[in-house]
Amino acid sequence: MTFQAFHGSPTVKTELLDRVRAQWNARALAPAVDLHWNSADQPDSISGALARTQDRSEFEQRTGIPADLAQLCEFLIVAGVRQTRAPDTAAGFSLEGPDAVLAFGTEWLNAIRPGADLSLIVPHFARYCLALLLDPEFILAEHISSALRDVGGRILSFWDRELSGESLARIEWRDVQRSAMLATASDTSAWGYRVAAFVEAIAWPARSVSREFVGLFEPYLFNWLMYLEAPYMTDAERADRAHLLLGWKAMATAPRDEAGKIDFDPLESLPESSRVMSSDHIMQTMDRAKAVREAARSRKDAVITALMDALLALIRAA
Amino acid sequence: MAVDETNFEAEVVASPLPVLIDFWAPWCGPCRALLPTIEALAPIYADSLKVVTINIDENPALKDRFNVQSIPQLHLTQEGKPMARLTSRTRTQLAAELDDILV
Repeated sequence: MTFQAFHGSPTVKTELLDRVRAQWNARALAPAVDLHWNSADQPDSISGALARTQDRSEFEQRTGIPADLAQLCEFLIVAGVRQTRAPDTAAGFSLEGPDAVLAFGTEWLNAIRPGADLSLIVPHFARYCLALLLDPEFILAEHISSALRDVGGRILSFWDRELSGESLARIEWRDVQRSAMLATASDTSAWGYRVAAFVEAIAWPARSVSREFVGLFEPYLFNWLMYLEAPYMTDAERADRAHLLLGWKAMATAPRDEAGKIDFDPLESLPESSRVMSSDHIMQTMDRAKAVREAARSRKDAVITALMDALLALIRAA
Repeated sequence: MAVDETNFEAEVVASPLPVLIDFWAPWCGPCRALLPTIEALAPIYADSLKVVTINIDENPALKDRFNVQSIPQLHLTQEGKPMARLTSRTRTQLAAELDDILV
């Protein structure tokens, strides 16, 4: 499909944006990864209200904007705001977040030039994120194994060739994919697992990753943001967090039977993970966990707004 | 492509290619998360595999036929008969599983 944002018409852009601007400024729209429009169960999302649809194809036809891009923009907002139920308000919910994050709700739409082809924005954003991950100064760098770094570098190089118009053979990708799976399987770092899983999952041509990107990026960004809380924890809390991550990894990677069920307790050999994943522990540490989250809030906001700025730069350049 | 009880015989049983069936339902979050992965797999195996989805809410007989107890669930079939059940959830791992089976 060829994309031409707002069908090349400034008038269409104005009409569509007018639909959402007032509602968004009144906080009557709830950012969401899926398109929500006129649903009994969900408030309208920004993109759902923009195109008045829950259907991806209809969204693209009506706006000329790739649904993958809309999904990514709304995901970044979701990551940076707190939505709480507020039954006494007209919208039924309230949104809180830094001004810069909330402003992005319409900023990304304002940034789109009518007629722009935005089909490669998500692949280029994926490239930006992978390059960031491979930067030696990246905050999680010490948790990235040399094997994974090597695989990431190869993916980046393949993406650069692809995005400059070269076509790569399936066999070349297959080799990288095997290396990525080996690097992930041999990764033992509590903080590194989701980074490795992300790199493994994106070991495909950048264009083809676009549709899946948000689903793959979400757990990786969650891990990244959680890591920013570590400086505000005690040594014991940091150790507990590592046990929690190892427990999640054990649950995620446990072999499953034919019915999709795990037929043993993956935490049996991880008593510390079992302890920190218990409801008792979660209840006991809830207030402290909330205090740590709040202490790290500004650092997390800075990461999210930097990602938004990178995305805006790509949109403006298209 | 979406398959239902009316076209299952034509699209799955009569298919000359093995068929990967994704059993799902609209209310299932993990199913919706897996859908882009399944969609991305289809063109990669266009010459060796057919990829279809079956909504279990609308096709209870097919759900029973494959004894689907939980979703998402991925079945690889040949002439409508089960060949393997795939348990991976990323495209990279699913492709590796498929490459091993389809060689």
